[in-house]
Amino acid sequence: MVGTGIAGTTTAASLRQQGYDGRLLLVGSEPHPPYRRTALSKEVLQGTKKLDSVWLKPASWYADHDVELLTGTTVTALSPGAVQVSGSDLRTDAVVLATGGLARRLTASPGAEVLRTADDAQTLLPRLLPGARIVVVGAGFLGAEVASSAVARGCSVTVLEAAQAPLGRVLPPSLGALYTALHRSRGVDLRLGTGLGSTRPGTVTDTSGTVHAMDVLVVAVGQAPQTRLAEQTGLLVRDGIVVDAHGRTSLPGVWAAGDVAAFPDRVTGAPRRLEHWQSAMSQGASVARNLLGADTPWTELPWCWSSQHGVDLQVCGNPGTDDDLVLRGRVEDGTVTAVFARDGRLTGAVTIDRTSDMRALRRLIVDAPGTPLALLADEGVDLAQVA
Amino acid sequence: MKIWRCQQCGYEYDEAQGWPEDGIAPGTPWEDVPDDWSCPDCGAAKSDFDMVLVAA
Repeated sequence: MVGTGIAGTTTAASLRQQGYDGRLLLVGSEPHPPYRRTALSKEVLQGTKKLDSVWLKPASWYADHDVELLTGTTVTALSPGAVQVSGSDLRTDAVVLATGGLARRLTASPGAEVLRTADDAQTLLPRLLPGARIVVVGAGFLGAEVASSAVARGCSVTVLEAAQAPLGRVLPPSLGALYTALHRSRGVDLRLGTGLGSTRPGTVTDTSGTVHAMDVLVVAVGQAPQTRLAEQTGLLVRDGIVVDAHGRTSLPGVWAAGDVAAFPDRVTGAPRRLEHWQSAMSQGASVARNLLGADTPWTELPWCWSSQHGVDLQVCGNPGTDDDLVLRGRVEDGTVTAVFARDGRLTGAVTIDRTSDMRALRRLIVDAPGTPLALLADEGVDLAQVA
Repeated sequence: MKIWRCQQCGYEYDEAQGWPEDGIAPGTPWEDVPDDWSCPDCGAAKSDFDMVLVAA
């Protein structure tokens, strides 16, 4: 396994769980043991959890399961049947690429902070002091969570977002507006339709020409899949490493999982990279089973979550901004479920502080995608019963 | 009997219900759930759960 995130770690754990008793190497360039990356922008930045309380596995787990963990180690070359690790060649029966992504940076501010790794979080954490002026570029999941955590630390936070609402990749405009209101009500100076223009010591100027005082600049504009090793090896790469539904790359014996992998979309079949914990984990588990000879295509419904200002947000499926939608509950109440459909088939759902709805809807969208939207709009209908 | 919530995805472990799918019998208190057990929904570690107070 190349990569010590949730995809690589789950692959290793699942191989053992399935009874594989050969040698297992988990190799990653990060200096820490595998940790829960989703905690960085939330509990870790808020200061409520330290890095050593978000390890994915207890310290003894690796020895107990005979998994050789090589941290701070980069795989420099890959060929059929072998990898090059720290200058020496290791024979392999299979390789799983789970190299994840790197934070994108902006040319206008190459030295700005980013948040992708535990080390990024450790750098940022001591700078989020009460009263510190934090400017965040990007209001996707990551930027919105950083803003929320910085506010919780007593910072003065400005967010610059190019779109007309935060979380635009996952939320329709009506729910985006709810998040605009949420962030502003908690004191975030959320600027929409603007971006990073230029920076000087102590200030940033946005693309509308407004100058913002700044002690710390955080750029949260997405990630770029870490495909260098795959490209260098000649694997088919299109945005991510292209794999079939079983996780096989274009080179026999080489598999991929997690943020770096483009699995066939469960609806369209087109290669599609996801950047969520749940898909990374379940892809790793599928690849492990397939490596051992099973036939388990990965077809899971995408599902992700976020927490901002104490409000739980969950999204499943691929809700499109122009899909039909019904609401359970009222947007004005701040706790609402939205269910989406296109051409009479359910496409996804969003829950805001209504986690129990999500459980039922995830099942329903997979098992009964033809369920009429109108039925789900009725709050009297128990979703768990329908599912 | 207490309820423990996964901080990551919101799944709730109810001691009264246990989680029989993983061999955890109904009535198993949290401290007796194995340390390497993970959230059945999202796979987060046992240490990522917090106790929630439930109105009686």
